[in-house]
Amino acid sequence: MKYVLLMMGPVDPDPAADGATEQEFIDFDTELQQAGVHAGGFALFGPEEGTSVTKQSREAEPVVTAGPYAESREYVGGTFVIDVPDFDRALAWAKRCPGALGGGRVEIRALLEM
Amino acid sequence: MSVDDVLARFYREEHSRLLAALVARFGDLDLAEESAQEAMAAALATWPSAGVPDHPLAWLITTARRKALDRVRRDAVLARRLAELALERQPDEPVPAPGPTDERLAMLMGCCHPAIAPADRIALMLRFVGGLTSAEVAQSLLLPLPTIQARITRAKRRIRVNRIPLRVPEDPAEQQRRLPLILTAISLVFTEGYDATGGTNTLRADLTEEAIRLARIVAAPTPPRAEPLGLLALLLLTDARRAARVDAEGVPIALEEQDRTRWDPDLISEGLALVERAAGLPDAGRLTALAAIAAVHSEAATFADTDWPQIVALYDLLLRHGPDPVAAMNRAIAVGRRDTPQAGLALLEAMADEPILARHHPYHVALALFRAECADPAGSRRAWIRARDLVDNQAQRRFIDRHLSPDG
Repeated sequence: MKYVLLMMGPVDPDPAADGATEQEFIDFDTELQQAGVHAGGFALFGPEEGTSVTKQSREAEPVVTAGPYAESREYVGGTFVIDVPDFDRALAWAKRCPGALGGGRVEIRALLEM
Repeated sequence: MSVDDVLARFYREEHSRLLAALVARFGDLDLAEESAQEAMAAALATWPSAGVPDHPLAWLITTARRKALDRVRRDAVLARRLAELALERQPDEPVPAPGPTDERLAMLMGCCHPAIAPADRIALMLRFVGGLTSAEVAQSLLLPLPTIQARITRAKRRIRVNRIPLRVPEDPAEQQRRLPLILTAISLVFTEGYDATGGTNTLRADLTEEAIRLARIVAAPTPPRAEPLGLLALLLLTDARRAARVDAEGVPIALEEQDRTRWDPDLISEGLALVERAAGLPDAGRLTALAAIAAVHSEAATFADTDWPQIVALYDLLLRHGPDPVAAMNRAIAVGRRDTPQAGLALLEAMADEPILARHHPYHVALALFRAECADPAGSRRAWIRARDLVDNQAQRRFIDRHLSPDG
């Protein structure tokens, strides 16, 4: 069964927080590959480089805004998709994931397979 | 024994195990519950003519698995998940004997998985392992029925969608973290059976027996842990007084007036041995202290023979585990017996502002009894009236009425 590990980060990070380094994410990715559970994923540029599109209704003109949605307090920095037999294995990987460090948060979401 | 008797006994003693065994195999609470019901119906239809099988549980598991398979094949959503549901694997695997591997322990531990919302865990345990209906769960947790139904639905969906395994975690530290809530759930099942809420019946033996069965399952694994042994001891020592606890009309009899020859000596000796084992373990805590208090009462031939200094010392030990107004109240009562009624009454009166005790009818009963002994009949009567306002159980109300008008 596939689970997505979402790397969540605060929009206003604590400057003193000791966050994960890029190398730690690369090492984690390698570990997933070696364990044979790596099933995809991606890393993203920061939310300040993002663009938001909203539509008030089906008929309305889409509104394009530079940057993240003003009210969001968290953003998705990247994901790992893992294929493991059950939730406890997914949880064990999430606990080792560097994304949980320094004010970040790893959210485990089951992949809805259509 | 007739087929009806066998099925009734099975339902009482093994239904939660059948359900747990099916959940362990399917990983889906709804599918397990529906197929368990269908298997029980099939037993009712076929056993009278075909005879009761040698291994009723194995028969029911096999039948339930076939029923589940039929259901899955008819249902498109379930059919897509057929491979995950592990229904076709090892069709007739043997059913393990009861003991440390009992599936009910896996269910209890699984219901306390950290990925299930804390508020939902106890409701799930009471409903799926304790055998309480949703309405009884609501009563037991003092919450509205729709809240309980919403929690159970939400938790079942989380388990299914995330494929949360309902099993004993391998890490002993994680097992230890899940234990306290499991022990709380088992005591709630027992209490629901012992002081059936709101109803006219004071005792529901099916629930107290189920709680004791579950306590045995949780206390069985090695190495032994103190608190599960303490809980089992506490339940056995409390249940030992069952026959002496209410009169012919179902009205409760106070501890000092119980006929102690009607206490069950086998349950008491088993309980005493368990308390001794629990007290000798390093992790002995609240439940072990409560069991030790019950043990001291069990060892007294009469109420007057009770070792009150020991009871007070054990309440002091219990209160070291954190504030507990009910334990403090019971300690005050024990001081009143050890020293003088005036000393006990003074401690009780000093607790009057504690909100938990203000709503706790035994507090007002204790005030009433001590005030009567301290020559304050008017104050005693006020406390009896307050206690009567707080109970919603017919039998308990009659117990209080007898004191309010002893001649009527």
